[in-house]
Amino acid sequence: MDESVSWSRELGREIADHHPRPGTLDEAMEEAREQLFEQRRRREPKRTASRLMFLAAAAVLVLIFGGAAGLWHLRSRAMGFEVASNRGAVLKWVEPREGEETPLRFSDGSSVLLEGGSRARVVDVDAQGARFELGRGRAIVSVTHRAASRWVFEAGPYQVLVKGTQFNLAWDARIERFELVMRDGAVQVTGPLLAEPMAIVAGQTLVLQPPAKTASVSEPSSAPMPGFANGTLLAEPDTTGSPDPGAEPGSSQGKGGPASLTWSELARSKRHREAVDAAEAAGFSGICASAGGGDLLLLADSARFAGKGARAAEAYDALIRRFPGSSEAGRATFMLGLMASQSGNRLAALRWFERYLQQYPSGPFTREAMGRLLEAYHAAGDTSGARSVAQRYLATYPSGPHAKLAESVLARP
Amino acid sequence: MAATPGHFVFVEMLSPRLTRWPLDPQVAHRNAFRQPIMKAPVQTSAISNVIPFPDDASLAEAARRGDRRARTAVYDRHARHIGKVLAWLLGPDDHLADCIQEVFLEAFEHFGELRNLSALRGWLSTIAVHVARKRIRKRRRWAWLHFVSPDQVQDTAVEGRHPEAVEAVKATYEILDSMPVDERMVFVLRNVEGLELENIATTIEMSLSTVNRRLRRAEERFRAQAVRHPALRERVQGGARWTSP
Repeated sequence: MDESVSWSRELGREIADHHPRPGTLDEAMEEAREQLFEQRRRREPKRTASRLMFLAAAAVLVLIFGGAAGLWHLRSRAMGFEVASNRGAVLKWVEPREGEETPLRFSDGSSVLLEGGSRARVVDVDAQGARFELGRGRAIVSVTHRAASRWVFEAGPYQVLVKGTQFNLAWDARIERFELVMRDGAVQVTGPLLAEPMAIVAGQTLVLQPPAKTASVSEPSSAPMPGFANGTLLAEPDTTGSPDPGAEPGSSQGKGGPASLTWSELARSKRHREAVDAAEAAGFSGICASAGGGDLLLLADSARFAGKGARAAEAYDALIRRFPGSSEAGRATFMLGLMASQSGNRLAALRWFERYLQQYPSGPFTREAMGRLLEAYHAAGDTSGARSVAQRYLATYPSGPHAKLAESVLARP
Repeated sequence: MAATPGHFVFVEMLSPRLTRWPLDPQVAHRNAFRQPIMKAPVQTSAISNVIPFPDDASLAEAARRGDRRARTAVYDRHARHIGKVLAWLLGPDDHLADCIQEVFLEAFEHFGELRNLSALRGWLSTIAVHVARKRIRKRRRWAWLHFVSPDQVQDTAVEGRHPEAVEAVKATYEILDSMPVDERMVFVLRNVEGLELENIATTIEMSLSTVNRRLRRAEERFRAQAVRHPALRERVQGGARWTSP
């Protein structure tokens, strides 16, 4: 490239990296969207910095230091993070070599593990969360759930909005393939091929590839998740609670010699097919009848990840019967609805989602369950049921991912 | 109800005769199980509502017919790109949201003029250039009211963790603000957005030779001012980056 113009391209790329600030662009897009489609103007309080700047406009030095003081105040409340035990820097790319992995740990307990060959960076961080950009490769994510947390993960043209959850995120820039494997919780994804923000919950895998015009939502594979082969780099996501000390030792032991792993050890190592095989060898139903709530949930999730729906249903069903009202039973109720929905059993899905809403009105899956219930009524052609749920949904989640569907249901005569 | 080994345990299939609300937790375990939840492991399934508009041509076609869902999808699919283009052309500006809205309002009103449906993004970019040009000219007309109108106060859109980067972005746009609008457009589209010259010519509706000429002048003008600015001097003379690559 001609030297006389290479400086301008370099400069231009750096401008593009630093402007606009992602939060600014997001806010502008959201405001424009509301004005375009919802025809109401949102009252945006003037930003403190702009107000300070305006008031101090006649005194340039006061303007500079007042604005800087405001920024430092905000910055001092932001989370910190480490990259492989070193202090992390915003906008600095992290690129672990092939065969290596690099952990990023945040002060709120959240973590991201980057696989070798990946390229990613933290674009922004504040007290509520961070914005993370995956340039290429795969990241294994665990975000601490807090009431006010707000994380955004970008992979190519896709955005994943996160409140508190665990997932694997991959972006292949060469073929423009986006993959999201949900391990726990729920997220919302926006981007090409998606007509509207799409909610993805634990157990689902979303794959999008605009050039090939393909999109799919599926159960995850049973292959071990990379990055957890040795299980020591990051804390295991605690989806099941501690093992129940009341469980009979024999119910969780697999057959074979002392060196063979138990079904629960296999499940915790994400070797789901082997875990279910070991549980079946030890007596699947007996485990369902005697294991603690945490172990039962582990078994059920493992069976679902292994593609063994019937076994998953058996374990979830046992959870609900034996530990009614527990958080594990709530998750089981929701997952049964999800499985029914995915297999096309709309009426069963209705039943399970309604049960979840009745028994867990403020649970972690309440919004998702209500949205899925609306979908199920709508797909079943039950107008009155759909309208009833749509009204409830909009009253409770006016900006939720199913708000558009709810509005369209209510708009019909 | 305990399941015996080797038997599938099915989730009940709700009969339309049964009352759905409120639910009786015992009902699930009294009724006969009728169908398996999963007859076979569900590996993949095409989600019909995920890709109703698999490409821009089908999207533009539906939006042109007034399909509300398609228009929303046009926005959701392209707003980020258009927002970035506007931000790059305008620099820090409190009216970015208004400009984004204006681009899409124009598009929705003039969809009938879009001939090549596959070129939806490029067409939106052309509209964005028009909107940005209008906005820049308006800003310049009101520039003398800088200390009077709050609209003219630069917001904190460029705040970041690297003060050098913040200063350099601000300096860049100060220089761009002093340049003729068309030279500014060509400079930004080439160097910040990275468009090829032919694409710039299409987007900005100029001939290729005019684009070449204006780009050359813009870069000369920019460099002449940038070498006098501490935040940009090293960059235009081939110095260190603000941040590590």
